[in-house]
Amino acid sequence: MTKKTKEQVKADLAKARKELDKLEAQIDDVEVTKGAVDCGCNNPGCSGVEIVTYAVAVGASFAGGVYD
Amino acid sequence: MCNDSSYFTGKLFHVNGQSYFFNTIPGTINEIANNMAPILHDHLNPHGGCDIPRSGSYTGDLRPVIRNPYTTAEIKETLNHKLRLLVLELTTSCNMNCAYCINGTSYEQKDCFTSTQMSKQSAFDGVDYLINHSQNQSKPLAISFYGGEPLLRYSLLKEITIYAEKEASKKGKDIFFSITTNGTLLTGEMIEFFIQHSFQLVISLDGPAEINDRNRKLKNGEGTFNQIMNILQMIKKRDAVYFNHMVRCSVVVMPNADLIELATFFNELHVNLIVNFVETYGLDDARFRQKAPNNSMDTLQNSLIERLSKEGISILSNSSSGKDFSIALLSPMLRRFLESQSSSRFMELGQCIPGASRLYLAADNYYYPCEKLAGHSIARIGNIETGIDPIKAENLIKQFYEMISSKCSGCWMSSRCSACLALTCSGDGLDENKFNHYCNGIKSWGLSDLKMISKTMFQKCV
Repeated sequence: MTKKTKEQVKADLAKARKELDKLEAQIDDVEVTKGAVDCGCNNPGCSGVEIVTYAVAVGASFAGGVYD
Repeated sequence: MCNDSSYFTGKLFHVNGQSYFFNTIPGTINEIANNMAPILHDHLNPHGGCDIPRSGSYTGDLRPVIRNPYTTAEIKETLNHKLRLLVLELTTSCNMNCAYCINGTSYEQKDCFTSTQMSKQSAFDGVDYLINHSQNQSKPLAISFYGGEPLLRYSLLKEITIYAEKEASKKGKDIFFSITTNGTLLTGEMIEFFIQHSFQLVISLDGPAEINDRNRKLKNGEGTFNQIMNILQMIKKRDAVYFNHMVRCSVVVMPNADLIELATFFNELHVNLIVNFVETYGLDDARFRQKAPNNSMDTLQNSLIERLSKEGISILSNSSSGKDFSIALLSPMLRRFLESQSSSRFMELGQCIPGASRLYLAADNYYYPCEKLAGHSIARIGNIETGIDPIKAENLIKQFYEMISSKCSGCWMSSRCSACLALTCSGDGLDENKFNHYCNGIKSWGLSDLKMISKTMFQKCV
């Protein structure tokens, strides 16, 4: 395959502009959040697993009706 | 005409002859016409993604920029008033000798288990420090017991639990507990205590006997499978509800593991799971890096895709998902992509304020940001005498961002990457090679997940 010239690259880009603008528009209003407030890692032995009470855990499962 | 200095970033990829574009900042996956692919390909960037020039009518560069998001005042306020989780390394001793243990002899740094023991005074001082530096923390506080093997110090663990409950109650705070243990020392009396105090119990088990006992051995060389299975049965028999909700098995998967065999075993065991591949960086033993030519990962992925397409993505977060081996193995990264489909959030890298998400008090009385950084002198952010030094914590963040900002800015994965100090620190400095090793792995894993999601979203659901 022959390498495109700079002009060809620009021309192709212009042809695709409408589609590319749709992709670019997805970036509008994206909220930026800061890094990890709570550790989300899943490492073996990680002690940072979300800690909940027994009562909360059991309550949640009853609420969902899944415990038998 | 396009603006020559304004771009937006994404990743072009292909699945079964169809082209897709992952748009980095919003985190969306787009099916694109195949004749668009060569046009996007003209704009490849050094990270393997694409920098697409914006329309001339727009200004402003939209490529992801990675920089330190924390101010000095914010770090100080968080460390002084918003601590939440204290991890106590009760001992560095262990009754086991697991082949892949990060403190074992297989790692290059050979930081083998010593026998440093945390004193009762240090543990109580650590609890006081947590309670006195958390007045603006709205979530309940938590203490996690770690080691070595923390059950070697069970009587101290009991004293700390009762002391922490009393002191937290004086300040009107709720406090919860967890323990990460190899499980071999668990007795009926201990289980009663953990049930009574609502402990989350994390027990190590790598799979059926022949897999578990290959690496998880006692000091005398005996495997631990039978012992752990008996313990799990004992807990289940004593309190099935507690077993269902508060017990998890921590599974370390070797790169050459037969994942189908593991999935069959754990799905039958039906216990909550934390699953991860063995961390191969720093291991000087070739057997941990050998990837056997098996296709069990593909089989597992395809099976999960089938289920996602039939039952929807809610299967990743429903009440039994934590007990499903393929979800536990495949969903951590997958979730990052799937959640971004609906949340429109650009999340910066996974670096927390050191000490804020959790504070690790090592048996040698130094504070570290987490257990993965324990022993690395660069990551010592304080000690039991003087508490956390916010300046040291801030310097650590600054060094991290100085190292990664040029590497990660512009990367197509930067919005979904969980790189942090734990993957970078080494001894008294930051290690670029260690970081690069992680970087290559996370990009490859991310691309594989993008392909899996695309198959699910576009090729089976529509």
